[in-house]
Amino acid sequence: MKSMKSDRTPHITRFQKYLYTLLMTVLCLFMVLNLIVPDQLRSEVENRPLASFPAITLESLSSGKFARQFNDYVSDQFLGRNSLFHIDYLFRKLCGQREIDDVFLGKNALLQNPAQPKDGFPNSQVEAINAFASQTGLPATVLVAPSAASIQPGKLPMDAPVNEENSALDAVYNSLTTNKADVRQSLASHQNEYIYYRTDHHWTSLGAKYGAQALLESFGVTMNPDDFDSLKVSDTFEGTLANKTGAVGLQDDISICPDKYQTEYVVTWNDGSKTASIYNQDALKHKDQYQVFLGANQGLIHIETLSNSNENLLLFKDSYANSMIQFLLPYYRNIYIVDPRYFYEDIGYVMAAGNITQLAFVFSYNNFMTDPSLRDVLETQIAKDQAKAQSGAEISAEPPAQEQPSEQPASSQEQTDEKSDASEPSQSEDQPAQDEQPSEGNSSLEDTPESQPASDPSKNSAKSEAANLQSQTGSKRS
Amino acid sequence: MQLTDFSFLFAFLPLSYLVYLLLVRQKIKTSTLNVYLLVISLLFYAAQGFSSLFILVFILLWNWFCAGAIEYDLTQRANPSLADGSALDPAENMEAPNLGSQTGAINPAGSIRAAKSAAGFHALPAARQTLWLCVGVNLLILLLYKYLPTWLAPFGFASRWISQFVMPIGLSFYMFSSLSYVFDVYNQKAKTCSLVNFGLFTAFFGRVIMGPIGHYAQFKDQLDDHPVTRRAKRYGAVLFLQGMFYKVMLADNLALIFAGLETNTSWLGTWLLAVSYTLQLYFDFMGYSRMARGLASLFGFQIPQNFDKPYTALSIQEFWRRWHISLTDWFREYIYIPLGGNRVSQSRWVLNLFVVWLLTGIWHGPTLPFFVWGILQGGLILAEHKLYGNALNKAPAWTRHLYVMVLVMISWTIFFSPTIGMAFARIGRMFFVGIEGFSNSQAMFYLVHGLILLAAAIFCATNLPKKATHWITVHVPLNKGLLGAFGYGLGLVICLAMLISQTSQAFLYTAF
Amino acid sequence: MPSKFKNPYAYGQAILLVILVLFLISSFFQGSIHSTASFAQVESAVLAAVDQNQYPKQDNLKIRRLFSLDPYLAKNIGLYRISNGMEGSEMVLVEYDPSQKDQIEQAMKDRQSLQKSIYEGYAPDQAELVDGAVIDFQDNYGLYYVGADPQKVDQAFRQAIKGN
Repeated sequence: MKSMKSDRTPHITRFQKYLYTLLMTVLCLFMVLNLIVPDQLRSEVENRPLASFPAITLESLSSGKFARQFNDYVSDQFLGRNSLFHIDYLFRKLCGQREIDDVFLGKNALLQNPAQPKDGFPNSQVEAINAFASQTGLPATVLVAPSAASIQPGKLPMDAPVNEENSALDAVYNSLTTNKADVRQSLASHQNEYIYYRTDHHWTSLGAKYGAQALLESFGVTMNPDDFDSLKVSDTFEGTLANKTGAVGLQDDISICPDKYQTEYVVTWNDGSKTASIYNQDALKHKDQYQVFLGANQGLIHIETLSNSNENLLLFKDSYANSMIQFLLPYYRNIYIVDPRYFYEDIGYVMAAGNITQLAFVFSYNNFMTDPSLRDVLETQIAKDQAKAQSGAEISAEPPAQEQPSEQPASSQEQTDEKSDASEPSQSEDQPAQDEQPSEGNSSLEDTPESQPASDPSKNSAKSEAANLQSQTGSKRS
Repeated sequence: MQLTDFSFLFAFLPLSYLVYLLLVRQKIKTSTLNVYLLVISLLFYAAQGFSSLFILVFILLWNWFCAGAIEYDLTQRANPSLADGSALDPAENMEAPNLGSQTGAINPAGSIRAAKSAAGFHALPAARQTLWLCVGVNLLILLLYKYLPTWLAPFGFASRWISQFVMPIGLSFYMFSSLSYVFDVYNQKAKTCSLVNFGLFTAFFGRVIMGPIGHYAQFKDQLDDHPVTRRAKRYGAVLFLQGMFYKVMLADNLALIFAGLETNTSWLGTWLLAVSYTLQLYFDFMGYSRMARGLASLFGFQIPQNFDKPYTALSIQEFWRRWHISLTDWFREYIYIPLGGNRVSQSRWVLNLFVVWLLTGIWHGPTLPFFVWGILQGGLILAEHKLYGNALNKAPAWTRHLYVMVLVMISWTIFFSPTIGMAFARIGRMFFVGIEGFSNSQAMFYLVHGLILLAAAIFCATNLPKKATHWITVHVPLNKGLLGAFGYGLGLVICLAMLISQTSQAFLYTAF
Repeated sequence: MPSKFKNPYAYGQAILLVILVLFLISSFFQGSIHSTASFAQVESAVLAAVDQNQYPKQDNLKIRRLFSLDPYLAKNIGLYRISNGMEGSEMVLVEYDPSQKDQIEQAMKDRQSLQKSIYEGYAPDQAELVDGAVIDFQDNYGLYYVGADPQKVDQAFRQAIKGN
């Protein structure tokens, strides 16, 4: 048989005349452009660091890891990546798709599909809270904030297969021996208000207000909602859900709510610095504007106020409580805010030094049902207290070696500095997000000695004394 | 590296192709061009890791040497000028005339009888010994990497040993391609070629990972001469883009529906699951094959199509003439026909049929559902032959079409279920047995919001696109070339957008 | 075996077969140890091989903080070190699902290089100790040990997971 190669090729239609040119142009053009255009460090749309050119080692080549990393690199540094991400969202929406990666594309809003509680996990969480609260003997309230998907089902796309929250929440509230701030009814009655962000998984300041109201009520305090102003500080906020889906055309307003009586206060941050405001104006210039409330995630924050109250609150929280703090300021003398994901110190010490009179646990549904950090922190403390109780004065008598940071402060600052240069401070996302460093300050508050109010410590107490004096002489809030 | 990876599309492919065009322009000899192509194909495959590459290279070398040895032995037998002691057995050459091989080549099956009568392996002529040895080693490797890890999993110590054997991607495909070469040499349908050409035939980067499986005797001439004509380039671009559209826009999104409905127990949900898989599998596989053929064409090779609108078939037999053509071609040529095909007694034919279909099932995977699926195909073909073939032929086309689609969907349900129990449960639900409701909100969600996607997929599975294109050609007065470029360009942008969004998700929720 | 093959291709075949056989044989020696011992058993065996005063058990928070590792990735994990940051000696014992092995092992390696770079500046003897650390990750048990006599401790570890 004669082999006439060109005869083997089927005929192509007139439509297809220029396709070779199209394909080669696109491939070659973008290959060249990607080489020329310098690498980006970070994606603003996705709010994460972008891959850089991978290291070439024999091991990575032989295992195939280099090829995978190289692919990540080319994808991440692709010119026009953000636009393509948005095009993907628009096209899917156009074709009727209403769920992208566990986020529902609802009516003028994005709604996160709630997490499935990890098997048996909520029980252990509840047990730890119960044990901790009873051990301290203080009044305690737990508030688990439901997701928008539960409270505003009207915004979901039709028939959305939402993971149901109510049964898990009921089970949790029923087994808690502490007070409960079951905020579901209150939120549901306000569901047509702007209580959840359209592009972010957090509740708005308004939603947080209803949450604060419920929390304070559980301690017997009646909050007057009209005591707070509402100042819009942004109308261009695009949050985590927009990052996840590449959404366009949806934006949120952020409002801060200072109280009308202008209660004065001083905030001591994790790194020891102090400000007179919980709001972080700088955040509004960056992608994650939610950080305007209480800044980046950090282990411990102390707020001392000039309110009339004598109560000192220890609040365990995730980022949901960030926008709720502003409503608590007039009702507490001192608020100690602990984020268990970044807190490595001694809760017992904080409780003693801070003279805590009330405990609160404010978490989002997702974190409460899946994140073990709170349980870890509480269980560690419970174990310490039990050991202490058992061996009496023995432990406290023995002065342990001064707890040094396992990394020298200087070099660890370097480490965190280097890493932070390449990335912005960690987000206020609740999901244990990327491996970004938590706010730099952590390193200076190293392992405190086990149950000793020894010399290291939270310079917090020393500083807060000073702050107390200062504030009494009338430092103003910005 | 996958054909839809950005590192392939925007680094490997343009770079390697531009260099190739340059070499062609310099009028480099084809044999040297082939060296280049083999090298870049091996580099492409090396992205999977060195251990995978090692296996590929071993398979290439082993099969090439064996084929060479076989050819040497065959020429020795034809010219026994060297005293190698292998006596010509006259019975060998007198094959039963009703056995299927087209050209009277030596038939391993017929020779099996001769071998048995001559007491054992060592009495076989050298070529056949080498063939068995060759196939044996190939099967051993396949067994080790593909089947034993699953089969030995329940056995403590053995499972730990076997777990170090991780199957290299594409093993089933390129091993079968390389065996095609060996068998064709053995059957004297082709002569041996250089190691480079053989390596290129088997491991060309376009098809090394997911086929189509190569048929050496049909492909060999191209190895010596594969000019990159303008037509070939255009055709290559067309195929490549079409394949990408099918895979990225249709298959990858149908997979989302499939994943969402896997645990659904309503009637609608179960059917929707089957429908989405039916479409997803087709477009994924067909799309990838088309991309492979497109790449081949860019380099001057023509690979025959692997799918021919299988969902337009009017009988199961016809379906299998249109689905994964390269595989059925391989089994027919190298297993079915040597076993005697259909030119044997009835009972022997039925046996042949089931042997081939069982092997086809096993080829797809190591678990029971695959075996059952394979046997089912054989059974359906048998039934069409013997039971209702005539009735089927007389039935109106739409009933035949419905018949095929229902059976195909039932077959795929077995195919994709991890256990046979789940498969039967699902099939039961398709016929109202054990359902939890006619429909539920989850099923409705995917149906309503996936309607456009499903409609587009069904449309593309039929002959309608061709008719639509023809209609546009006739009725739309715009410049066709530009219109086509615009349309395909839009499609390309959307594909890239979808591919990008797939890469974004990986990083978002890295647990600390 | 004939000293000369008549069929020239047979040489290639023979070489490849030898390679295959060698490969198969070596595969029997490469499998990592899969242990059926309980974590408690392994833990006590390993602790018996070290000076227990130097290696008191720490809590999960420390693991998270010092190793940037989520302790819940593992089935069972223990960190043993004294709280003094000047000491490089530490030990991590992990029981995990084989699929998590690489991630956990990498965390240990990262810790080792971090510690080494920190000590290099001012405590060269600690740096050397860290450099000589044992990182022994088998199929479902792993050991990271910095301290005196790493081989002895590794032996104890291996004995324990083999079930002796």
